[in-house]
Amino acid sequence: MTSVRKRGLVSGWMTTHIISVEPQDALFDAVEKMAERAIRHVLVTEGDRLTGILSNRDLVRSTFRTPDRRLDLHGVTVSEVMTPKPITTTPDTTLAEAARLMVQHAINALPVVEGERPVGVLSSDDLLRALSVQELCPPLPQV
Amino acid sequence: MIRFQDLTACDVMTPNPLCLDSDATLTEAEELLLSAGVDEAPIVGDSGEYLGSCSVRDLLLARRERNGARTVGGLPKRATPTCSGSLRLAQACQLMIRERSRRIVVVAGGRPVGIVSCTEAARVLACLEDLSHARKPWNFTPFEEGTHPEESALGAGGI
Repeated sequence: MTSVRKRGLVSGWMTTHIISVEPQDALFDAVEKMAERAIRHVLVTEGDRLTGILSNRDLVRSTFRTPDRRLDLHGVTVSEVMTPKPITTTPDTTLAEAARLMVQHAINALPVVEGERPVGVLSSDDLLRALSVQELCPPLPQV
Repeated sequence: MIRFQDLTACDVMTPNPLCLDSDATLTEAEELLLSAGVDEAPIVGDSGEYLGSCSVRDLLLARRERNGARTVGGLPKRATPTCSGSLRLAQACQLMIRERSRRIVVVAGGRPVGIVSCTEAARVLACLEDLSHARKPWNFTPFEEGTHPEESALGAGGI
């Protein structure tokens, strides 16, 4: 159970199971990981250091940039499509501040870092969970 | 001030969403979505009734699969959940989680009147005061128009 204190902090809501790829990996490997785990973002790391984030949105944008709307998943590397130097947050940032960052930068996920080391990801799905906490509103009836 | 508990879909939705006519061609739909910077939009029929939704990914898939669809009305409909404007925000969030959807189309009289997505959820959270005191009643002060210049680029939510 998340403590009352932590409920308002990024650390109380972030996903700590990090799925990552490396910049030189083929895009295919990243897409496969995202599909297998039904996730929309993977972190891009070199060793322990965060260097980027790759999202579904990056993939769609890159696909639309190609003349025939096709991405060569085996011929393109993660570094060619990822968003480098992503906006990040820290575990002890408040959820409100993290949400503000997402709104201001029009992004749906924030890597959570300690120094340069990624320790989690806060996504807009996590914000939905925070807003749907049962103490604040009766649960939705089952259909 | 509005109490968080009282917030409804209508209070936080992005109103007057971009809609696609069911007889819009796939190219027209693609151009509309890309120029508006939105990833998905409701499809409406002749009288403005909500028929389903169409995403940029649906359009990419249709191109790839060459399934013969020429208009967005001919695409398999994406069943984005719908709700009325009076649904509480927390329940709308529960609905999105349950349906594994990133947005809800708010309908009135069968017509789409707004979108509630993760973007709107983030906006609400960004406005909530001091979440670390979650036992206190949460208060919601909406952004004043124009205070966030990037907001217009957000559209109806992201992927």
